[in-house]
Amino acid sequence: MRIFFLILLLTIPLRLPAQSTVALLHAAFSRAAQRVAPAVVHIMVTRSRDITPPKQALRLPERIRRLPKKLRRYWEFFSKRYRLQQRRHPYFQRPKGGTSGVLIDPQGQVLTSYYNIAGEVQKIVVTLADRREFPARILGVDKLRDLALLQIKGSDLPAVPLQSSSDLKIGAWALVVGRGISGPDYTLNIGIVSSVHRFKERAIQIDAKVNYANAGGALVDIHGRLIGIVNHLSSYERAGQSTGVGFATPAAEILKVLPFLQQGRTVPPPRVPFLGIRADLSSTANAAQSMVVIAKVYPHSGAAKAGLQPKDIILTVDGIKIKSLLQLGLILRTKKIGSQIKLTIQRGRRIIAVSCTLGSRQEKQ
Amino acid sequence: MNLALRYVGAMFIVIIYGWFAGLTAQDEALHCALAIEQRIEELAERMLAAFVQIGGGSGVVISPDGYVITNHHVAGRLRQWKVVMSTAQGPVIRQARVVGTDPRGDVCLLKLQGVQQIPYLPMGDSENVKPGQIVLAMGNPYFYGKYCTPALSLGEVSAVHRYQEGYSDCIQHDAALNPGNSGGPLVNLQGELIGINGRIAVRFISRKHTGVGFAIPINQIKLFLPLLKLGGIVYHGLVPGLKITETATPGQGVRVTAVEPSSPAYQAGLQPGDLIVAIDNQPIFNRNRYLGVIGIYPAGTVLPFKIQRNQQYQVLSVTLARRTGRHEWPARPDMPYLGIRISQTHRGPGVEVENVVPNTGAERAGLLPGDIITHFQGIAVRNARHLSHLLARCRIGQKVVLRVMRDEERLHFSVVLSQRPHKR
Repeated sequence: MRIFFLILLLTIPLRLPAQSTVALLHAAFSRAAQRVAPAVVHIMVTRSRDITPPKQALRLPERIRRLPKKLRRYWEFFSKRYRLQQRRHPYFQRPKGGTSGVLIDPQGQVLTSYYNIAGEVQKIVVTLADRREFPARILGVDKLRDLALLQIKGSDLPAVPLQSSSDLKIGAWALVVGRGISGPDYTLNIGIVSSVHRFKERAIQIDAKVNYANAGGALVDIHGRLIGIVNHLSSYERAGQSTGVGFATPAAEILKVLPFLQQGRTVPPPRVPFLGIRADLSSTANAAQSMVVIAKVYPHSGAAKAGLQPKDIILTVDGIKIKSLLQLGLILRTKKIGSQIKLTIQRGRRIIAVSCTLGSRQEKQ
Repeated sequence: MNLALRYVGAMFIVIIYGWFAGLTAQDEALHCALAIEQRIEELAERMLAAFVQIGGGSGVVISPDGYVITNHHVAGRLRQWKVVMSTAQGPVIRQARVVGTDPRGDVCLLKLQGVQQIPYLPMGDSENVKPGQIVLAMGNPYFYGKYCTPALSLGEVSAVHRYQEGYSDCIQHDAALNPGNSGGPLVNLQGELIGINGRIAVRFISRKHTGVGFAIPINQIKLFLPLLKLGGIVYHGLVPGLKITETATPGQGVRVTAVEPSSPAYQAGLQPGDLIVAIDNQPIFNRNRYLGVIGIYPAGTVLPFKIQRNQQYQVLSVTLARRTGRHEWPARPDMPYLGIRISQTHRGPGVEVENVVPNTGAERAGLLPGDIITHFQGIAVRNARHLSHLLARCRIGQKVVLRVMRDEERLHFSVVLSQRPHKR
């Protein structure tokens, strides 16, 4: 009799009846988010003055941009009132409300995006998932990577470590966990990794919806690991909602600058080699642009000292034929600041060889 | 005592069983998500290998010998493009020649030069696309992807068979499409190309993703492909001379209200009062659907129109004429021919003869330049168009009587209608 029941028990398969794929997917997403959610915090910032929206938020009409500089200046002078009105327009302003951050250290270090705490800040209040409130102070910022490290006084706080995922591929699940409203409820946005090469390898692109409230929040993979911080609210999105193009700084990049931030230093934008010219992009419609024509030579730069002039055509750099502006940029990036490069340029009908010393400039995104 | 032990033992087994089951369920959820993730990553690699960056937009390779499909508004205005593609060695620049283009349907075919066997995306069947299916779109939104590092976005099909004027039968989906995604591939989870992304719905003049994106279905592209490969501009079709209206109860079909005589609609046998119920096995329920189905086919296609006439169903063969924007249609070969050139500057009723073509019935009858034809077979001729309608009802070889005014004199001519000579 006993054996009979034993055999009966063993014939029952050791699994629950198979759930639908959708239910399983939802379960996986919730679990992954729940792993990180206790460490995602709500940040409320009180400011006396906010930063002005970037220039891309106010696009000058095409015909004005094409005008020669003097006429453009006249237009800007007379329409300054129009521009100020635009900047004060609520459409271009930071909306009122909370934003998100992530506790990465049980001793109270909160990582968020620089944009969240930019401007003249009077007070920052960090609220945890269990409604505990802490005043915060800014430890260090990195404007280029849009990161900021805050410090709150506490110990044994719920935190998750940053885990760099070196094999992040396009198509991987990318979940964004935010806490735009203080309280136990977090927000979850689901998407995939769209691209891994953005902002000169410093950021990845995701298609989960990123808005003002979840910027600074956690980028989570399907296993529930914190693999980055969501930031870089695109300038196109600054005047409106997410358009499916969101960016995040991956953990590997954050870990590079984290020591600086923890020491309380502002990471300065790196300096890159600078030739000293501006060449206009001729019709970007076709990648068949085969000449780099100098439009302006910046004074006191290596190019100015070498005698380059506007309307010169750069033919070769150190023996390499230059076919496009992008190519020139890539070559210059590999050089060291202060090194000499040999250029051949065409001025009118003459071909001249010059030698330039590369200066340096601050790197912009 | 024994019984209690057995009871506890059984409970213990049940608890262990439940715990294991719970664990496997959790693992199952992760495995499911990982399996889908792996599939999407695999598809992303395949799409990247076939992706082409063309100027400010995207394109996709559809055959190993280098044919690339994109939108007309991306590539159709030039003849030659330098495109960037991503290979294992990094980005490469290749030459591409514009072979053929379809401006109204927004499809352009290019051919990469100097390639033999390159990775491509196989074409699927857009008839199998249903709302709710997961799709992937690849492109270059906001032109962030320099040197061909495009971005992938995930979405679902929202609706199929949507009419958007030019995108006559498009797939609506919610994958993120932004400027730069135009011409990019839309791929299902089987890895087949099911559409080309090209349009989004926006408001307030902001060209940003709003959750409504439109893709040209691959079946339409398959119909146009042979003509695109021949080169030049490929025209969409229409049925000229047909006036339709929606039925009082929506969903039944479109009713023919008027058919112009001697038009292709008339030649096909359509009559006022017919109810067009289906075209090529596609049910037609309203005017937009009629225009949508007509818009899938290139000009010159012969389509079976299923019509309802007097409670009976018939199938008529209708040839699509070119949709060029001009309201003309080509004359049919068995159209009877008078043999006169009509003056464009004559005012008033009747038709003025500008010239008489030699070796035609009009010349043999004795018509001269300057004559004004006032009546044809006893019917007063209003204008040239009216005359051609009257002529259309006749046959070649038929003798017709014309009343002509020549210098205030009323004359009668008997003309034998001949065949239309070949156009030079």
